[in-house]
Amino acid sequence: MNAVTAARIPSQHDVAGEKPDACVTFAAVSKRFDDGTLALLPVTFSALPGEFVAIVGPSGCGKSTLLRLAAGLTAPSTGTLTVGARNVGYVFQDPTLLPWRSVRRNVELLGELHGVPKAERRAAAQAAIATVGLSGFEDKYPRALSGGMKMRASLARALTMSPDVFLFDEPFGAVDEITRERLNDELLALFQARHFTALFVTHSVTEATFLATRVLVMSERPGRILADLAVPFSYPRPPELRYDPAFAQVTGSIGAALRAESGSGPR
Amino acid sequence: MTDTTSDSVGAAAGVPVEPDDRDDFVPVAPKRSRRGIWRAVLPPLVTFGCVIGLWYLVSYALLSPSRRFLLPPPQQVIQGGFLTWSQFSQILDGLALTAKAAAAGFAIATVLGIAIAIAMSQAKAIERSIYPYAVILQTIPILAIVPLIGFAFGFTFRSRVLVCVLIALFPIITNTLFGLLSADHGQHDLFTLHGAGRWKRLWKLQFPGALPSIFTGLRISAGLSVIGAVVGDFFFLQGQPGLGALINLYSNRLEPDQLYAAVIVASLFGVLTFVVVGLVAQRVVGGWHESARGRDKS
Repeated sequence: MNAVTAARIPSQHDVAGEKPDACVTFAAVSKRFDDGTLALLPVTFSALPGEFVAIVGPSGCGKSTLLRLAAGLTAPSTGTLTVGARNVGYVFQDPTLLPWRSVRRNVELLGELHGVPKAERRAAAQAAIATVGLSGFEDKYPRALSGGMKMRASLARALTMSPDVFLFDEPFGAVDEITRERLNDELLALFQARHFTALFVTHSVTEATFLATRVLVMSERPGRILADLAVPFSYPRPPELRYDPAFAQVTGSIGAALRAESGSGPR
Repeated sequence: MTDTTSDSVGAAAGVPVEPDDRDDFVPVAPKRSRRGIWRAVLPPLVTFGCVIGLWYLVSYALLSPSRRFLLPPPQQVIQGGFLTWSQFSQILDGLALTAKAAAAGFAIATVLGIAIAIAMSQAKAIERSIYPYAVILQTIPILAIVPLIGFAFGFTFRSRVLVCVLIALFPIITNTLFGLLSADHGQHDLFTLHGAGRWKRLWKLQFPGALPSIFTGLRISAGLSVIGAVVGDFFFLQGQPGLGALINLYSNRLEPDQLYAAVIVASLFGVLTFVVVGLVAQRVVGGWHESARGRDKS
C-alpha cells in the first residue's frame, strides 16, 4: 500500500517551531486513564496553521481522547502538547445546548462566560447565527429544532469566539446523511473564509476525505496513528467531488489502512 | 466577523432552512382543542359521580339509621357543614390559621432545602456529612416528634411552622440535589473549556437545569406542609383552633356533618397547593421542559 507508507513524523524543527501560529503539536503524547486503561499510545503529529486534519478510526480508539487532550480537558500522561492559538473552539458530539435558553441566548453563552459586554456579544451572536443559516430561529428553544439545526446552533456558539484552532468531535455523527453532507459543504465554506486550523474527529472515511487536507488513521484501542495521508484536492471542493473516481481512490486507501489494522491490531 | 465572510458562507449555506430541516420542526405549545379539554375533564367527572354514588349507597343502604352518623349522606354534610354559616365560618377560620402555618413552613422549607442542596452539590464531603441526617429526618415518624417540639419550643405558632418545615424539607433537598447533579457531561465540559468557575457553573448551568426537579420536590412538599400543619393543629390546641383541632373537636363531639366538611376543606386545600405549584412550574419551566407541560398530552 503505497499511500499508507507516507506516515509523516514531524521533525524536531516542526515541534519546536519558532512561531507556533495557530497550530497543534503532539510530541509523544500518551494517555492512561485513572482506572488504568491505556487509551492512547504515544502519538506524534502536528496540525500546521491553516491545515484541516481529520482523524478517523474505529469507535473507542481514543480519537475523542486525543481531542480532549488538545482542548486541555484532560492532561497527557506522557509527552508534551502545544496548542498555539488565541482561542480554541470546540464542537462537541452532542449539540450541548442549554434547553432553557433560546438559540440566541445559547449562542451568547460563551461571551457571557468570558465577560464580553452585552451589546458586543449580542452582535457576535447575531452574526454567527446568520453565518450558520439560523436567522429567524433566534427565539426558538432547542427542543423545537431538528438535529441538524441544533448542530448549527452549536457551531454558531463556537464561532462567536472567533477561534483560530477548531476542534470537532464527531459533530455530525448523529444527523442524517443528507443533512451531514450539506453541513460539510457549509463547514468547508467557513474553513476557507476563516482560515482556522482544524482537528476533526470522525468515523466516516468519506467525511474525512471530503473535508480534510490530511487524514490521520488511528488503530483500535489503545490508539496510535497508523497512517498520515495527504488529501490531494484543492479548495473549494464542490459537492460532486464525492462521486469523483479520484475521490474514491483516496477513500479506498484510507479504508485499506483501517482494514490492515483490524486484522493484526491488538485486541 | 466581516461582511465578506458572512456573504461567502451564506452563499454556500443557501436558504437558511431547507425542507428536510423543516420536516421535523416541532411547533411549540399547540393549542388544545375543545374536544381535548372535554377528554381531559370527563374521566375525573365520571369518577366523581361514582364516588358520590358509592357514598349514597353506603349511607342509605349499608348503614342503619342509628349508625348513619358514621357517614351522613352528602346533602346532609353540605347542609350542616357548608351551608350553616356559623359552622362553615368556624371551619374557614381554622383553615386560615392552618394555611398560614403551612405557607410559612413551606416557604422556609423551600429556601432552606434549596440552600442545603446547593451546599451539598458543591462538595461531596458536605453531601456525605448532611445526607444521613436528612434521611433520618424523613424516617422519624412526625407524630413522635411533634410533642417534643411542643415541649422544646412551646405550643405556639412557631412550633406549628417548625413541624411543617420538618416534614416538607426532605423532598426539596433530594429533588434539588438530584437536579443540580444531573447536568450533562458535555455541558460541564463546555463550561470547563471556557473557564467558568463554581459560581457561574452553578447559576448558569446547574441551577436552571435543576428547576424541573426542584418543582417536582416543591409539589410534593406543598402537600406535605399542609399535612404537617393539620398534624400540628392536633397537638397544639391552645389559642384559636386550626383545621386539625376542629377535626379533633368534631369527632369528639360526634358532629359528623362538620367533621366531613372540615376533612373535605382540608383535602381541597391540599389539592389547591398542588395545583398552584404546578401552575407556577408551568410558567417557569413550561417553555422548555416537557414534563412541566400538560401532563395529559396524548
